[in-house]
Amino acid sequence: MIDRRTVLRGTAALLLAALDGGRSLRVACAQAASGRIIVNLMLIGGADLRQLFVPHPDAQPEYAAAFWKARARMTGQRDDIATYRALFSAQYTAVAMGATAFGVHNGAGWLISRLRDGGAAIVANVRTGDPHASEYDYDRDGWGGRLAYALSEANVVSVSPSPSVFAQGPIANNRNAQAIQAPEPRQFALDETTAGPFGGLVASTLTDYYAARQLDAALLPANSPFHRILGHERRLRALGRELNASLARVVPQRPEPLRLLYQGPSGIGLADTAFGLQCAALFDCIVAGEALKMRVGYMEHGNWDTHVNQPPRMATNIADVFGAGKGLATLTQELARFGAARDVVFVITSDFGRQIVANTQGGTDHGSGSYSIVIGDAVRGAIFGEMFPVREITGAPGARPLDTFGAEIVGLTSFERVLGAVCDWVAAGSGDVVFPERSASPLEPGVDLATMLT
Amino acid sequence: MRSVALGTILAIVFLTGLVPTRGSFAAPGFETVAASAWNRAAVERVLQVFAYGGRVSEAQILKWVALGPTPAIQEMLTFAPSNPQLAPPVDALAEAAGSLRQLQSALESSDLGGTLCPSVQSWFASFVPAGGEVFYSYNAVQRTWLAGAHLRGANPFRHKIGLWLSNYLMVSSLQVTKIHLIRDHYDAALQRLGDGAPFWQVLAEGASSAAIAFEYGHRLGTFNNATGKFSGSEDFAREFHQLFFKINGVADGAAYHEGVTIPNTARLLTGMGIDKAPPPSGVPLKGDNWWTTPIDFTDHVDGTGASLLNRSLHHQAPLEILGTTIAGATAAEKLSELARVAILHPESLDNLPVEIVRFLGDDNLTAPKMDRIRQAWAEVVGTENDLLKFLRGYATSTTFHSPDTFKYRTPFDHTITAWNVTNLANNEFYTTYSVPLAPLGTMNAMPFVPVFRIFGHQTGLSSANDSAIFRSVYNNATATMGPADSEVACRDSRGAVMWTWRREWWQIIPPNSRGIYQVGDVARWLWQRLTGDSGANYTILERAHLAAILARRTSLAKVIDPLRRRPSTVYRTHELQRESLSSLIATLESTRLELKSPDQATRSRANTSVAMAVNFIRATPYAFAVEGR
Repeated sequence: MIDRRTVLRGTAALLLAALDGGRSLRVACAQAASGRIIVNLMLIGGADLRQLFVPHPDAQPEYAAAFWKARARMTGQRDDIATYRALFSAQYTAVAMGATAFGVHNGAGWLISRLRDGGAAIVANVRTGDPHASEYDYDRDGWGGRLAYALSEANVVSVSPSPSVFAQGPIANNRNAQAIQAPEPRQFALDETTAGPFGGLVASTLTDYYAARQLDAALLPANSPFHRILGHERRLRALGRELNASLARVVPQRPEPLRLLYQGPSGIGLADTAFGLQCAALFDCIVAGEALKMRVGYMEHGNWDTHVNQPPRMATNIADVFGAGKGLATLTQELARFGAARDVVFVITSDFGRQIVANTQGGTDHGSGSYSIVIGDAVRGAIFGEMFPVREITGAPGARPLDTFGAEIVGLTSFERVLGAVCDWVAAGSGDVVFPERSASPLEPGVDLATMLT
Repeated sequence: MRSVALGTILAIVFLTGLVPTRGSFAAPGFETVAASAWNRAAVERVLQVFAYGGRVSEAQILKWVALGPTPAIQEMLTFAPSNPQLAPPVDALAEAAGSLRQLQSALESSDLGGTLCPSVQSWFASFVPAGGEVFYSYNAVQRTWLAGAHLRGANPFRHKIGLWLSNYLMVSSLQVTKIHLIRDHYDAALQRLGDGAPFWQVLAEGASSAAIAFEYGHRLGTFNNATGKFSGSEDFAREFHQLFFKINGVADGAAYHEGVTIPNTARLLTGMGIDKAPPPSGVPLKGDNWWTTPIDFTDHVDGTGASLLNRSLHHQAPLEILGTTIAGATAAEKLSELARVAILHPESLDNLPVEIVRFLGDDNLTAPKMDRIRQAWAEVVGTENDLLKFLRGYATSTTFHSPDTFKYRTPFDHTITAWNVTNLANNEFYTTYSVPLAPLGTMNAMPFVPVFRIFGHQTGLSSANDSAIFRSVYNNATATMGPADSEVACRDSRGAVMWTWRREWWQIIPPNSRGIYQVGDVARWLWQRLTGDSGANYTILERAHLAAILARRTSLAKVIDPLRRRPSTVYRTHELQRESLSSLIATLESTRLELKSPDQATRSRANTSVAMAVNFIRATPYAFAVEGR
C-alpha cells in the first residue's frame, strides 16, 4: 500500500536521493568515458506506465484478465477478457523481448521501434521514494548535480522551463556551481550589445560593474545570498558568448523538424509545446554546446498526474514523448544527423507511480512502484525484472490484491540501482559515489543491471 | 514528542474554548526588536519582504521608524482591502479594492474616478469575443491581481498573502480550473482573513471551494449511503492534509494515515458538485459551461435545471480522520470540523508555521529560528486573526531582523517591487497599464499558473536557482525602460495619442535638507528603495557606477578615463578607494541633479538619468534578495 510520505518523496527521491552530508563526492571515479551524456527525462506527476505497457492477453492471460477487471471502468467498457482483447488489438502493438511478450501503446511508435531494434531497456518494479529526502527542503543536492560533481569537469544542463533540484550539487551555498539552466540556448547570453532606450549605457555599466564585483566577490561574507546571483552572471557571461559563437558556427538555424515540435500546426507540433522547445534546446546544447561541458541533461514533461480522465491524457502524453516523429524521435533523429546521438542515453523516470486499480473518476491514484525506461544506442535492449508479476493478482506479502482499490506495483528494485547503473555508464564507478547506499538497496532477484549499457 | 504534547494541550485548550479570541496582536513567541534597532532599514525590510515595497512616501517611512515596531507594524500589515498608510488612496479605487471581482469590474468599467485609457480598460474586459461566442479572459484576472498588488488605494500586503494562499498553499491552476472559480476562491480567502477568521477557517473554506473541487476533481465524488458505495479518488484527500496543513502522516504512522485518514477523507469529499448557470454575458461561452460559486451543499436544482444531490450523495455518517470523529451533514460541515483538528495536529504545528516563514521571510532557516517560529505559532493558532498576529510578530522580531536571515525574491517580488517603488501615480497605470504581465511571463511568473502545479509557484529559493530569471531581469533592464518610462501615452484604437503622462521623479524622491537633489542622495535613496539594503552592500563600487550615470550620464570607465586609453581596465573596490578616485566619486555625488528645473529639457535629461540608475540597480545582485544584515 502506498505510503504518502513515500509518494511525496518520489519527486525528491528521483531528483535528489540521499547524501552523506560531510562526505566529499569528488572521489576518484574511474576514468570518465569521453563525451558520454546521460539525459534524465522526468515525467512529472506520477506516470501510469501500466497504460504504456500492458499485458498480452495470450502471453499473460491470467494477469491480463485480472488487470483488465481492475481497470476497465477507467474506459467505461466491460471488464471481460474479450473486451480487453479487442482493446489490445485496437490500441496496442505486440512486442516480444526475450521470453516476454507484451503490448506497447500504439502512440509510442518510436519507442516500439527502439524496443524492437534493441535500443531500449525496461526496468520493471522500480521502487520510487527516498526515506532520506525531506518534503520541504529544496536546498539540497540532486543526483544529476552529484554526478556532475563527481565527474569534476562537467555540468548538468537543464532545458526544463524552471530549474530542478535534480541539477543541484552537493556544495551548500554553491549548489549551482555545475548547473546550467538553458531553456532557450539561443537566448542564453546576457545582453551586451543592445543599445536599448539608454544607448547601451546600462548594458556597458552593468558589464563593467559585474566584472569588478566578481573580482571583489570575496569581500562578501561566505554565506551571502548574493554569491548565488553572482554565479549566474559569471556563467551566463562566459558561456553565453561561447554558446552564441558556437551556435552561429555549427547550427545557425534550428533544424525545421525541431522547430515544428513547438511551433508547428496542430497534428505536427506537440500537444505540449513546452516539451517540444525542450527537445530543440537539448539538441542545441548537445551539438553546439561544447562550452557547456554537458555530461548530464535534464528535461521534463508534465500532465501525468491522471486522477481523472486518464486514457486520453495518457495517449496524448505518450505520443508527445514516444511517438514516431514526435519529441524524442525528432530529437534523436536530428542528433544522429549531426553525428551526436551515439553517446547520448535517455533515462526516463517518473516521480512516483500510480495504483493499478482505477478509481471511479476515469483515472488512477498515486502509487509507489513504476517502470524506468532507458533508451540509446549504448543500451542493450532487454527487460529487467518481471513485467507483470502474477503475485500482484493475489497480492504480495503486505500488498493489496489486484481486485482491491489501492493495489499497486510493488517496488523490488530501488531507483538507486537503476540510476546508479546509468551513472556507471557515464563514468565507471560513479554510481556508488552518486548513490552511496546503492549496494544496500533492493534489487529484484535475477536482475543484473550492469549489463544494461555497453 | 514535544510537538505531540504541545498539540495535545493546545487541542484541549482550543476545543474547550479556553483560548481568548481577542487580544494583543503581538505573538509572544517572538522577541521584538529593540527600539534602537527599529530604524529605516528595518522598516524598509518589512516593506520589501511583506508588501512589494509598498506605495509609501519617504515621510511615511520615517513616521513608521518614529512610531516604533509594534505600533508601526499594526499600520503596515493589515488584511483590510485598502491600507491608507501602505498604499494611500488617490482616487476611488479603494472603494473597489474589496475583491478581485470588484476591482476588475471597476477597471473594466473605468469606474474609479480617474481616467482610464480605453485600451487599458479593454485589458480588464471579462468576456472577450471569439466568433459568435465569448471566452472568459484569464489575462484580465491576472492583470487585476497585479493591479491590486500595485495600485494606490489597495493593499499590497493583502495581495501578497492572497498570492501565497492561492498560488502556493491552496493551489488551483488555470491550466485545470476556470479562472473565475479561482478568482472567487482568492476573494473568499482574503475576505475571511479580513474578517479576522482564525486560519483554520480560511483553510476549511478553501478546501470547500469550487476552485479546489474543480482542480482535484472531487466535485464528482459521491457516496451512496444506502449501499455504502464510494465513487471518487484519493487525490485531494491526501493533499488536504499534506499541502494545506503540512501533515504527511508521520506522527500517526503510515498505516493509519494511509489506511484510515486518507480513505475516510476521500469519503468526506463527496457531495461537492458545482452548479452551472447560463453565462452571465448572455452570449455562449466558447467550449465551456459557466460554473458558479460557492458550492451549494444542499440537494437542489442549479441554474441550468440540473439536479445536484450534494447532501444526499455525501457520506452522512461520521468519519474517523486524524484520530478524531468528524461529523457533519455536508462536506462543508465536515471540512470545517476537520480543519479545526488538523491545524492542531502535531505535524501541522511543526511544519505549517515554518513553511509560512520560509515562503515569506527567510531562506536561511536554522533550527533555533524554527523553534521560535513554532512556539510563536502555537501561542496564537486558533484565535481570531491568528495569521495576522503571527506575521506581525514575525515582522518585528529579532528572528526576522537578524543578520543571518535573508530572503530571495521571486519574479513577482522583484518585478512588482521595482514598479511599486518607482511608480508615482495611479494615472501612469491608467494611461498604459504599466505593470508588466509580459516580462513576468518571460520568467514563468504568471499569477494562477503555478510552475510546480499543485505544489505551488516559484519560491524565493527556486527563483534564485534559476539563471534564466536572472538573465531575463538583466536583459530587460538593458533593453527596455523597465519601470521607469519617462513618458507614456494613451492612444485610441487608431493609434492617435489621446493624452500623455510624464514621469517627474521629484514627486517621490526626497530632496536633501537644503531642498535640492544631489546625485549622492538620490542614488542612495534609489538604492534603498529598490533593494531594501541597509547599506551593508552599498559600497564605493555601487556608489561610483551610480554617480557616473546620474551625474554624467556615462559610464564610470569614461568618467575616469575619458579617452579610453585603458579600455579593458576593471575598476575594483580597492582602486576606487584611493584618494584620487574617491574624491572624483565624491565630486560626482555632490553634483546637483536638476529634477525640478523649470526648463523641461533639463528636467527631462535628469529624469532619464534616474531611469538609467533604476535599471542599473534592479539588475545588480542586491535586487535579488533582501538581507537582515
